[in-house]
Amino acid sequence: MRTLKNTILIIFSFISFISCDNEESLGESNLDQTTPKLTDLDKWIRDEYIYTFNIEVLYRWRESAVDMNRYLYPPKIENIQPALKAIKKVWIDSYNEAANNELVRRIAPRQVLFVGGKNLNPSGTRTLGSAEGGKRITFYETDLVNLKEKPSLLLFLGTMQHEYCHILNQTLPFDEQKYQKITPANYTAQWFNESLNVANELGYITQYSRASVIEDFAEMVRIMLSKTRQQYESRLKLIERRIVNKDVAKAIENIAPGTTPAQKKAIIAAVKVIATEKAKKSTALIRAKENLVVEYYKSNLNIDFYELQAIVARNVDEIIEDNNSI
Amino acid sequence: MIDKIITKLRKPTLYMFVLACLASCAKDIEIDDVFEEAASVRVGKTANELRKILTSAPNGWTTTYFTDNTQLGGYSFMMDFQDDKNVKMVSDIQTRVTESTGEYDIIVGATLKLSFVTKNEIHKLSDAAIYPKENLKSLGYLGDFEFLYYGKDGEDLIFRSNKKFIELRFKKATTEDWEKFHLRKTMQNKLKLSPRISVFKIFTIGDNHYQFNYSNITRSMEVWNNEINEGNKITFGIGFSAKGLTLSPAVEVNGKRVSELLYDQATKGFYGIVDGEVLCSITYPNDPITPFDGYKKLDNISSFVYFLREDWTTNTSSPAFKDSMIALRAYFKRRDVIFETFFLAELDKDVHYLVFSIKIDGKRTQLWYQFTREVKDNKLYFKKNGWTNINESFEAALKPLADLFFTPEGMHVQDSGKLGRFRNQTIRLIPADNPKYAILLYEK
Repeated sequence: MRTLKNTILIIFSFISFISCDNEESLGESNLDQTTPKLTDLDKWIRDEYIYTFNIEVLYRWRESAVDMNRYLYPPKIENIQPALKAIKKVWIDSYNEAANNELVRRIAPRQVLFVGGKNLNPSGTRTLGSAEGGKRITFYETDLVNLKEKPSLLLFLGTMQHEYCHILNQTLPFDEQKYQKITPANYTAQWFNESLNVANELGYITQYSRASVIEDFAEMVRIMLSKTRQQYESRLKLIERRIVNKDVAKAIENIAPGTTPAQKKAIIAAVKVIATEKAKKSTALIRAKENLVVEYYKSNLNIDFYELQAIVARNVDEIIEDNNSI
Repeated sequence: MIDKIITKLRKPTLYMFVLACLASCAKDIEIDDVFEEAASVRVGKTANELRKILTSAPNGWTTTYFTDNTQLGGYSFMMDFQDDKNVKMVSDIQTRVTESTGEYDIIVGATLKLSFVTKNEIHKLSDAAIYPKENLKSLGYLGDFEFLYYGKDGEDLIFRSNKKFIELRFKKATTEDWEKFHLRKTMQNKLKLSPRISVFKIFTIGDNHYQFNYSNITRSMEVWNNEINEGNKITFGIGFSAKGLTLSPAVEVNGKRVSELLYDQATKGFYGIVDGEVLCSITYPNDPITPFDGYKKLDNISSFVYFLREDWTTNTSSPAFKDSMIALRAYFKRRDVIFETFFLAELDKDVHYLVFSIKIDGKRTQLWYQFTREVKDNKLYFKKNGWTNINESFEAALKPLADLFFTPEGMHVQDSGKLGRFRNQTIRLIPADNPKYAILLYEK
């Protein structure tokens, strides 16, 4: 019986092999698999971004990569290379200089996507950039940026600094709980309803910082990397001055008629003292966040943040200079 | 007992089942191949064919894209598909004809899609930040730049926009199309400036006459008549050709459809003609379709004043009249005289005055022009008796304005209702021999 079973098995296997032997070849794919013709820009992107950093650059429209419900459009071809040069210099080169040449290759978005125009939100705000799952960074307003002017350039590259911070955080999380304890009560989805002054007073560096702890952290990085250390310190001083001036102006408005000049002076002096105290508390909150950012960069990436800040500032100036000399 | 029967039946049943299975397998159900090639092969071939069609047209293609004809008009393009990648486009979207070049691609997906993949003219319709009216904020002109290919209709290529499925027809362009593309802007300006021809503008479909308003910002025309009141207007999108304009949707008269209206230099109107018959038109006659009876308001109201503010939307004086008033005020200002306003005053039944009010060195002076009036054939006639007091140099300046009132052809008087949110009655005076002027006066 056993012999019979084995014989049947052998015959069955043989038949199976024979049947496989007669299988026709699948042949070539029906789909067009030829390499698309590369333009000079495509070749440049391959050398500078794909081969070097394994980052794909999407500038031709790809419907699935954007929100179909928005009215967005692709950028002008001639704007891509200057934008990529600026991004490389201010982002990749700066980080690599401050850390090591492997950081961006190791932790980076796998795609950079360019959109030509503004991405307007129903709330009336506009999105300058987005990072999707750490894989892709999208730049909006590529056609609108003026790479010869610092404010425009910094706004555009601020997207990179902000979104790259998210990508770093996604790979190497920061201590959100510790960070949140600094200003726990004023995070809100309606961050755009109140002014920058209010946000500063509450201990946030920008209005958008109030959106969430994660955005707050990225906004701290963005602002700090869009200024020299000295400029950043001036910004904190300005925040303090604004808070004091606002409170003093309000006090003057509320001074009752008939108050003597001497009384007025005394009231203003008193308000100034209180407001200065309040302003210092506000900037102390921002300073506490700054310390956590600096600590995060040191402990996770071995980067001296202030050194990175100086490198970025230098590279921004060089880009401006290069673009103005063209 | 039953168990035994089941046991006995089990084996034959099993054999029969296996036999049935084998038998059914033995006979393949043959499915006829509708196509000789696989879907992927066919789509690939169509993509190549489409690319070839687009690039092989010697003078490229032209199309007019109505992104949403319920509120916007048509935007025209000339397209030269230069090679497998680049396309040059010319468009009439902006005030002047503009040109750019970008890349395109034919993408194989659920269906074939012609996608303009880098910035070009057509993307101007999809810019969230540039919109023609408030309800389109962040929606731009509702335009698309990816189009699904639906095949050929004769020599035309039929596409549908990716987002809203709006049909686009690519027509083979001629050298004349390229040469005369700029005339689309000329035609647009003619329609835009048409209120300067006559304030009586009529849109006619068959035997039905309608009033209309054309908005150049949205390239749309709102149409109404007594049956369709203003609150329930019908909207047509307007596109332009070198010879006239295109209505969308087309209108149908006695089973004949017409969408192309040709411009006629002699009458300055636009006419939709099929088989030699005018089915549809936009015209600017000298007289209203139905005579106005606004003159009756003059019986009860003794004084009407010109509505001075040219920049107010409630001032529905015609653009030509507003311009002449602005020029007149500037004339006086150069002589350090402030031109205030003018008004009609009735002292008693037979004594009327046209009064111009000016200020010299802060002192108000009124220049009175006395006349008699009469109503004949639904028109109002002023017969002048002369100035009662006038500075000669001012008379020359005011004469063109005064002549509008004292035309021998008389004036149409339109009852133009209340003045915005105010209660004052208004009338519009329109000289019968010069219908580009309409003068809005309000009850004093």
